[in-house]
Amino acid sequence: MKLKDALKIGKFVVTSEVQSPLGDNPEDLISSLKLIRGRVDGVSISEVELEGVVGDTIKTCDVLQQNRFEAIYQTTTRQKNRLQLQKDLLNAHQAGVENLLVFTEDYRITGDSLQEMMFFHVDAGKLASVLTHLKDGQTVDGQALPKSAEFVLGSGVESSWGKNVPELELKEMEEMTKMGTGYFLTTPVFDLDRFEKFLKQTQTFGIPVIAEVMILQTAGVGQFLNRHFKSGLVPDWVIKKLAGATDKKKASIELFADIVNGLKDLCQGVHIITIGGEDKLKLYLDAANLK
Amino acid sequence: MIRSITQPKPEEELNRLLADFNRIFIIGCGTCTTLTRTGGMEQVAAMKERLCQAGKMVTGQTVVPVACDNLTLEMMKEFDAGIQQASALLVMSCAFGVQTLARQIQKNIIPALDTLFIGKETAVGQFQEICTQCGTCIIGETGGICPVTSCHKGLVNGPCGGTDKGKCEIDKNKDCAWTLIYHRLKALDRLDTMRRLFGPRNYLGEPKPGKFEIKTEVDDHQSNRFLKKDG
Repeated sequence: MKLKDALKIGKFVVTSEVQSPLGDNPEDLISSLKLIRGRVDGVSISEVELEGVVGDTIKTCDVLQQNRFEAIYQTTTRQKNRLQLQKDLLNAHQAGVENLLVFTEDYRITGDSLQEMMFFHVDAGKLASVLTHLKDGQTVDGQALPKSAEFVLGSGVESSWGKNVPELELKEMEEMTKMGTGYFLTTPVFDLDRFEKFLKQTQTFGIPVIAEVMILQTAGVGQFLNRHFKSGLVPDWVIKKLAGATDKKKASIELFADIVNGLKDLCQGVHIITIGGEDKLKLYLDAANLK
Repeated sequence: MIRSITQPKPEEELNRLLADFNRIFIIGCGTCTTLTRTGGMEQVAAMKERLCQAGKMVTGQTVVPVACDNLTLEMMKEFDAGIQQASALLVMSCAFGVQTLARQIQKNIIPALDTLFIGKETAVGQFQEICTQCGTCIIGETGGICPVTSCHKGLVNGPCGGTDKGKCEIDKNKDCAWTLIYHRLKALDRLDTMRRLFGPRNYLGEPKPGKFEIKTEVDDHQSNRFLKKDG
């Protein structure tokens, strides 16, 4: 079933994120994903990697589709201006990709390439201008395209209600709704009570909300993310639970299953960030009873 | 008042730039770099000491009132002997001053500082960039606060997901520009202006290098005359 249709009928959808492998042979990735065939409604392929270069994302989308996975092209506006974004979206569409995730992405303060220019030329408003043009079969400069391109768009939103001025968050979501977003994808959820507060405010939009859930295999990964990715992303109680467990694998799976099971009654799906553990995803899906 | 904000070049880089020169004349600036303590009298004296210790000969030193002013050349006449003796001038002003001198004096000119931005002193010893001179000012609709400059990402359609209780994701001590804008507009009862989506920004407000000419009535008259002629 297409992701669009799954969202339409109100299925609790499961999507997961993977990185494009470098080199010509994505067989390892495909064989990992084959373990969960039929259990994920979409696989997003990200262009951003903390540690640097990833392979050709659109090519990987194509390979996944050939292997009967629903690909979600995930890109960022940090690295590209509107022209490059337009080019990439058209190429993705030409490769048969129907699903899209576009984030502004974090301002780069750690990792590689700190000296490179960051664009951020496209924010939510300007992304709308790119997508509307492509949908109407035009370039951003108004030139006719041989074919129009339309996507099921996922829009990123902050899951912790109250981090921003609530009215501002709602305004942003209103704009995304006007853009015709297919679903909201939240930042990682750990605290279900806090997430429920967020959902109470956003249900009025009538747009499905998919919660991002991270697979944290060790406490060290959580600490790394907090230090190098975003401070406070992984709460202390999560890190303590993983660090204090005698069976770390079991603790990691339990943590994931508890969050996902809690989310089943709250929102319309989960987007699983595996952090390199695609091959172990099946164990986590089994534990959370995602079939 | 706007100020050119500078910081000293890394020691290694300055040593490399000066490696080929043994006789140095040092020029500081009495305006911006005095305020930022990067090229005032004290720093010029310290630089002289540093160069002498490194075995260079300092042929003279001065702190001109405003290095970027064209009159600086007149001021420098007083130091002609020291300048002529020197194989390079080490300039402790911002790049405006360095380039003003480079255009006027046929000598090797070495900048001692890196120019960071044009800013404002917001508290003693603290400087902030206020305007990036983008050429497409939008602050008429953002409560007089510039998100192009004050937001790290330069976003013009509201904050990113990194806002955390009014602070920026990359600096917990820095206010989120869009939260400031929101509160300002709310206080002014102008939140409606935030409802408008800004379209694609013109990133070429003024092609680089920027140039501007004041058109006089005579110019207008002339151009009209030419237009008529062409027509």
